[in-house]
Amino acid sequence: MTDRNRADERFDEALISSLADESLPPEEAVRAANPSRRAVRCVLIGLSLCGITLKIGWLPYLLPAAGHLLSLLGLRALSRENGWFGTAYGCAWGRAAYFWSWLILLNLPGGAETAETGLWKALSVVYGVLLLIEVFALGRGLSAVRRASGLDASVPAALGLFVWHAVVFVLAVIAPNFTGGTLLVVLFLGSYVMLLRALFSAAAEFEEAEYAIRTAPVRVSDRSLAAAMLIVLAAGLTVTGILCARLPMNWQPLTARSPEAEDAVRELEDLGIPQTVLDDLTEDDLLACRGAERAVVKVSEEESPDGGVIRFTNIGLRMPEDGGEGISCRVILRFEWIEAPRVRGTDCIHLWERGGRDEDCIRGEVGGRLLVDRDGTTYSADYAFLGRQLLSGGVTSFFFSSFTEEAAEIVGEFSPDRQGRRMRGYVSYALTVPEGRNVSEWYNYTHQISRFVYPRTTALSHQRPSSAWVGDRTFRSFYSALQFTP
Amino acid sequence: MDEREIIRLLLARDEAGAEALSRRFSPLMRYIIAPILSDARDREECLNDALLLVWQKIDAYDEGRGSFTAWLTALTRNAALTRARKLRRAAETSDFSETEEEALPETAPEEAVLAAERRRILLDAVASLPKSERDLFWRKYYYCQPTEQIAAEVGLTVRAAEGRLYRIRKKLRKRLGGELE
Repeated sequence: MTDRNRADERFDEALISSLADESLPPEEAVRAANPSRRAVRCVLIGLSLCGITLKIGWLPYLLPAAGHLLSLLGLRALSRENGWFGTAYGCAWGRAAYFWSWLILLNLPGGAETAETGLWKALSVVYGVLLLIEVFALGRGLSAVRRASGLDASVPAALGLFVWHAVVFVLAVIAPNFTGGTLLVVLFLGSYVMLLRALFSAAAEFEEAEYAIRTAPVRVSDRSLAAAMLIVLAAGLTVTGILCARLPMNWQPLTARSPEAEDAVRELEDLGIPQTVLDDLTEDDLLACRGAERAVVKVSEEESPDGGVIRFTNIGLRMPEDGGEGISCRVILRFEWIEAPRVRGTDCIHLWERGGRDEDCIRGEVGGRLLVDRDGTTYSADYAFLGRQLLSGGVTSFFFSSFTEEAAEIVGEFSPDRQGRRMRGYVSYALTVPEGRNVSEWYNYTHQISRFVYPRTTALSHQRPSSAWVGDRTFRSFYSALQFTP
Repeated sequence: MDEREIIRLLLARDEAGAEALSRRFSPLMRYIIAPILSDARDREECLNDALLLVWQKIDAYDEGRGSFTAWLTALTRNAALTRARKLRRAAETSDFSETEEEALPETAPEEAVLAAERRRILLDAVASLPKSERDLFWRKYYYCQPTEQIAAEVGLTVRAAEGRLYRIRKKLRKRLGGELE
């Protein structure tokens, strides 16, 4: 033994002997020495955080993430006591693995939709079953400890906890989108109160047996395990964030136009359409505008919170009669970032075709493209998606009341070029307007204004009603319209 | 049966109180005794001694001075320490007496005052430690728990627990300025 060790030993003995009188220990010392209170609290707080989720901001992700971690750490400590706790610990690992994967999945484009279908749907049921087994095993484990330490083995609160989870699980399986409005909100608030009561009662049942529980030694400290799990999650989110933050775009240098298209440009210039707009149109769109009798040009500008300025140039063309019913028109809706925005994630253009506005107007196929100037060269690309898409609503609620909407509307989605200047694009389509009616085309341009969007939401999916509250800090929509008498 | 009812029965010398005390508090008392006495039979005998002491000394329990659990903790710990001392002495002299009170050396009043002062200084130094370190301190130096047990119960590796205890010792040494050495 070294001198230092001897000195430490003497000091330890001196400390123990200084505390060896018969006066009462401080209350904090009494509370401190407890084999399982810490672990049991972790488990019960973890269960409550997983059970009660509020759809506010990132709380539906943060609270259960903390809950899974706490459950895991708590059950790890209890797992050596008996097989039931060991089973619960195994289930906690399974649940944590699912939840971590789900959190990473939500950072992928379309992840939220994927999570509602196929394999992920099945896995979510497995997760629910694991949770039920975990809560059941927890109750049985507690009962076994109480029996072994001579206490009454019945654990009604633990049974209540299991029943609560079983009812919620059955409801989630048979009626995932059940709409019950205010009544359901009241029912669930009531059930949350019941859950909390069951948790507190279970804590009391544990408290009576807590000194009889042996905690398992650990090779990795709680802090290290929690840090490792958070690092895995952060790495998953970072990798998916870097790789999947943008839509794939195929930018190609702009090619020269045919003489026919140049003729169309001259023709349209004479009608007052700006040269900058005509330069951007595809050959097909230019040729589709030939013969126009009259043009209306509306220009407006908007400032984006991330520093950009966007200019909208909306053009309506009165086309010659084609012998059909109604008046033939052509619409070009163009945008251009005249001052570049700081964030270039995903943007989209979305034409409103519903809501009682000119629903009897007939819109033809949609064309259009995107352009950007880079190193003195103009590049063009197709939209990542351009056409009609069903914007179907899922559940939108603070708690559980919900509504569902469905509509196929014209949308164009893309990721702006990272470095280029004068990012711009347009959509164009034929429009047949009933006699005596005005053209009234409304649309919004949605721009991503925050680099960090979670769950991963594109500008287009942001148009859909969603159960996730993303808020106005991630996307900004600019409204624009073209109104004229054809 | 709740704690208050158990105390009332014990004060009334009702044996149902003793039974309830044993049923409810034996796990706690066993937990306190276990790190101090290594032999299972000694531990059971110590538990019985401690339960008997509670029965005998319940009149001395003063609610105003602390909780019943704290009183029971102190009584059980001291019973275990006394038994451990007797066992050590018996190992040295091959003589162990169950009934004889340990012959403690006489403490001079002056020495008692100094010991109380040292204790006060130590508690002040402990109070200045962060909560997590105070918890480790009480486990190690009041409950005499082995580092392996402390590590398992607070979710640390043994090595990490040793490191923390080393740092606690270092801090206390510095704050006590050689007061205990």
